[in-house]
Amino acid sequence: MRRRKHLALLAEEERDEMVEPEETTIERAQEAAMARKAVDALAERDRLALLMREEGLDYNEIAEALELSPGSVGTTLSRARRRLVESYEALQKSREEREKNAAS
Amino acid sequence: MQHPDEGTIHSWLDGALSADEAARVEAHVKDCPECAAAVAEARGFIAAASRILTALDNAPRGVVPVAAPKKRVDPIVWRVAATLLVVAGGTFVVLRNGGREAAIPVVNRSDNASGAVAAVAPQVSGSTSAAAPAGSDAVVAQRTTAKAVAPIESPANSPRAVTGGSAQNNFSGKEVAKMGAADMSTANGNPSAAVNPPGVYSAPVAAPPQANRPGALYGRAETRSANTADAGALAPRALQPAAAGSVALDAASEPQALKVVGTARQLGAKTTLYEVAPGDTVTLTEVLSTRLGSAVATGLRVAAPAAQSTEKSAPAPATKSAVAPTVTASDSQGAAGIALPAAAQALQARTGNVLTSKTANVQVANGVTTISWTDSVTRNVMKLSGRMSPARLQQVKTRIERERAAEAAKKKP
Repeated sequence: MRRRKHLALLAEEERDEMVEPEETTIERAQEAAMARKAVDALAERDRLALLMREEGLDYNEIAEALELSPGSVGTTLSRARRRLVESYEALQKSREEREKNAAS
Repeated sequence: MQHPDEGTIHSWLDGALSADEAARVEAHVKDCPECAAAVAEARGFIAAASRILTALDNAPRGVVPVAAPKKRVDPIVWRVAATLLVVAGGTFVVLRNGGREAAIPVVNRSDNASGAVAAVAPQVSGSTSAAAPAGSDAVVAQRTTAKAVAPIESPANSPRAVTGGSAQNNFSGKEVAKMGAADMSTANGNPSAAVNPPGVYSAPVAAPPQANRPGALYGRAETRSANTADAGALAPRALQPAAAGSVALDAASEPQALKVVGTARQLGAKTTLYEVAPGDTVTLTEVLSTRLGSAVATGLRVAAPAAQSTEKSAPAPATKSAVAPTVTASDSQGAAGIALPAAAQALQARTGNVLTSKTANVQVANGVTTISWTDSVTRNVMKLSGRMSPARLQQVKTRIERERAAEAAKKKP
């Protein structure tokens, strides 16, 4: 079910890219704002771990930087990812609702 | 094996597990649908998280589009700038052209005169006709008349001017009349002029009323010389009034200084615009660095017949020249009209030789008179044109020449 959501997210992104440039820029700006919000909502350690992983650091490097055991990096990352996606999807949902309200 | 926890699954998917651990997890997930689902979910989170973090990177990209509208504004800015440029350029061009238009029409107007009919004879002869009868020998007399009509040129021109021939003389008589009326009126007011015996001086004044009848002028002049008995007697008497008259004329002919309205340099020519009177302008064109011969050739083209006739007739009567005036005078008493050509020829003969190089060509076209001559000092071809009678223009020319001479004199020392 979540997976479907993610797929829907990806599909939505593609749709966004297909609309006219101006809307895409707005969409992109909104996405970025939501992503920022979602990332900011994470615990600092989770966020750092996530960002480091995104930058291409391996688990050992992340563990070293965050003074974690290498085994706990996976746990931290999994938690960070889940929370990030959940908060992001929550933000997306509330935005859609706002738009729906605005439209009606 | 126990079900791997979420952290282990992420570690496995991230490739962070040792080969042993990875193999174990892989084997378990293959057989455990629950764990397989967890792995799938983990993959989804990994992908989604990565996408969201990428969206963070898009944030600056989100800003760029905000700048895009700025780019869209740019064309407007350019359009405004272009419009301003065009307007400014247009204004400049219009102003420049406007300036030219202000200057050119005047020049054109005066230039119209070129190609005009030769009018040398009329007005020059005018001066002569006045001088000749007065006292053929009296130099002073000549000077007086010259001053009145065409100060500089006339002393030399006067005899030759009559040359113009009978046909032209009719006309010239009128011209003289007008000039006499206009220019001598001031002189008339002069006390010394009034007191004058019937000498030289009265000649120009008397001219106007008789001008209508060609030849009459000469007849009258002859009568006067008869009164004075002989030329020799006339001379001394004429001297005084002439002197007085010339002074008065000088003052009268220059009510105000010539105003230089503008100068324009063209290729090979210098154009000066003089204001003779308010709203009355003449154009002086000085053709620079042109050889006398070629310039005169072109300048003379129109006036050629008159000039040629002068030259042709010159040699023959030349011998008679001294006698001619007197003879004419007596003849004209009986038949003034017939006598004229003879007098004209004689006079022309006398001066023709002397004056050829200094000849001024006068052309009239569309009410614009053009006088062209060669400056004696610079040897440049000068052209003076203005919307006025040849006589008046001749006066203006004299004034201009005088001013130019004065300027040159100033510069020399």
